[in-house]
Amino acid sequence: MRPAHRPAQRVVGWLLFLTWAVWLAALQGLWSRHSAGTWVPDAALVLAIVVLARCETADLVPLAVLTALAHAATGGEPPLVLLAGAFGALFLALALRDALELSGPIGRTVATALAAGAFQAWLSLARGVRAAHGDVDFLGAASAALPVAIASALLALATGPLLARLPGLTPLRSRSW
Amino acid sequence: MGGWVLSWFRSRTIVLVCVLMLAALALHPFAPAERAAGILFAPARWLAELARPLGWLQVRTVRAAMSAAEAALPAEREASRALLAAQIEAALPTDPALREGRGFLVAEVLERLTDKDLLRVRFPVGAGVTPDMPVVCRDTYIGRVRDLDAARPGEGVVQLVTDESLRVGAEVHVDGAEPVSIVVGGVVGGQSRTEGILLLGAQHGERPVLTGTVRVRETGPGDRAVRRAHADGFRLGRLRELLQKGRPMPVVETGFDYGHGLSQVVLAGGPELATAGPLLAEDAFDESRWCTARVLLAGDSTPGRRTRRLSLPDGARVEAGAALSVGARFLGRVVRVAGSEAGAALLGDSALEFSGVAAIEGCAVPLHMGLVTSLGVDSDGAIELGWKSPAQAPDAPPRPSGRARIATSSGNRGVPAGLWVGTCVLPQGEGHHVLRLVPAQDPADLLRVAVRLAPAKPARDPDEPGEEDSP
Repeated sequence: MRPAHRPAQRVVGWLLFLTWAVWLAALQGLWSRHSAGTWVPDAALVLAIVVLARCETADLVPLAVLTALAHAATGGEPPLVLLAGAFGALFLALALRDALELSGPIGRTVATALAAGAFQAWLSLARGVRAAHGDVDFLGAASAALPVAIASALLALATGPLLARLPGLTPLRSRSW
Repeated sequence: MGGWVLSWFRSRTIVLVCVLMLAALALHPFAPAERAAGILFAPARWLAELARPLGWLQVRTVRAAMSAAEAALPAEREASRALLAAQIEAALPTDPALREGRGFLVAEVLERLTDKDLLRVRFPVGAGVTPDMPVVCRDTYIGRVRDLDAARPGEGVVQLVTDESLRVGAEVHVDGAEPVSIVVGGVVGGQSRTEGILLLGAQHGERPVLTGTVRVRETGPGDRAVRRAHADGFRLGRLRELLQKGRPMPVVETGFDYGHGLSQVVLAGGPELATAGPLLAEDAFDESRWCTARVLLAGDSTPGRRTRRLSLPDGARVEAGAALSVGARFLGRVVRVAGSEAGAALLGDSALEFSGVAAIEGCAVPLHMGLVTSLGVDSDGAIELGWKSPAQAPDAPPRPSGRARIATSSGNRGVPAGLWVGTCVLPQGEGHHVLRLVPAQDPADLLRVAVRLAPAKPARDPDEPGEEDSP
């Protein structure tokens, strides 16, 4: 077991996680500004999954809230939709953590693909349900989610170890390996 | 306390229940929950500033886009004014017999009220508009002024002939025969107002006729009837029989798009109305009606969305629905305002809707398109717009099609008519169409935009009646 970090260190760790997440989400927005953003990975969610691989179950709450906050700062989706989506996607990754080693390349890639796909599909569905006309296009949501899931999985595979070592995130690691 | 909460969240079942509850609240917006989430996410406004340095990466692109729009402004403003003038000309009666001895005042449609058969319109203040004045578009009768807004001088509500409670006296003209009296009003059988061809309810006065052209003929004593009679001769549609539950009933078939086809309407009155006030109640390019807002980040982290967070100047009167522009080019609309921060949907975002008009190559009369919906951005960068072309009456001239410049039209509060949206090809035929738009200005690159301000509320003495308040 790693030595426990002091609460103040963990607060700083969460603040730096939020800063990195906002920057990654903003970069994601810049990459996709001239296109539909179809093949642009959800970089903030990839970072959250990389951090989730090494933290406690109860850390899911701040992780989901801060990931949703980073998306809210750089996007136009309603806060409740983002919060529900981030909680759901990260809970899915947490459930996969029992069967797969998320800090390893295969587990990380598979979990990211599923979580990013679920998050993107949820955003499309929620948009349709909340719109005035209320049309829900399940097929459209799935087809919009697939490229984002693949792009996010590839990003997780390629940059997972780098993201895990971003400055300031060490206090958030609490699981032994 | 914090430790108890965290230990509570170690139970995955409880987390799952929380996720499901959040999902339910997110899908079925519940105002207190939305407000609470808004408070929790308030720091998102300042967090967006963290990403501001990323904007420096695109300074050259932004400068190029801004200077191109500014250089094109004089020519585009003139083209816009010419388009508006053509729209107004197209709304005025063409039949010399209908113009004779009457005055006409152009009114701009501001919005359609929640009740789909009421329009809010704007006309020059002090033009002498009164309730019961007939409202026409070209040679067609469309309704009458129901009331004037005492709180907003120069605005009033028009009740369309499709409204269940409106009745208008009319005559059926059959070739070579005496006209027959009839009363018309309201739509038959719960038809959708966007169908294009509507059937108005009709009731025979004296003897029944089967077919003929129906024109307004208001009769009766008093000033009210005199005012209503200024619409005499304007066309309502064509009379025909409709079989309902096995029994024939007279209906008037219209060829007018009451659902989306109204942007400029004309108030009909006595000859004195012709000199009343300016032609347009409001100038779209009046600089005092725009403020400059800073775009916090030129990008959206959600795939498929094209929204922006805007930082507004202190005290700016910006309301949801306000237009975003650069020069004379339309970029999008504000969707929510919270203090000095606003969220906007740009061209290409699925939350954007606006009223459009098309200037079609080789066609002098602009085509009012009605509601245009932004569907998204195609893989090649073209913007996809959804447009429903309504059905036309059999005797109507064919709707023009071909390459067209699209501009904003009246009908949305906060969006002035005449801002250029882009170019596309309008297809022939009725039904839903997806248009591929080459935007006049790609809004993706901009870091500063102009935002339309709401009109200042006039300071009025409540004891002093407005000149238009009295009928």
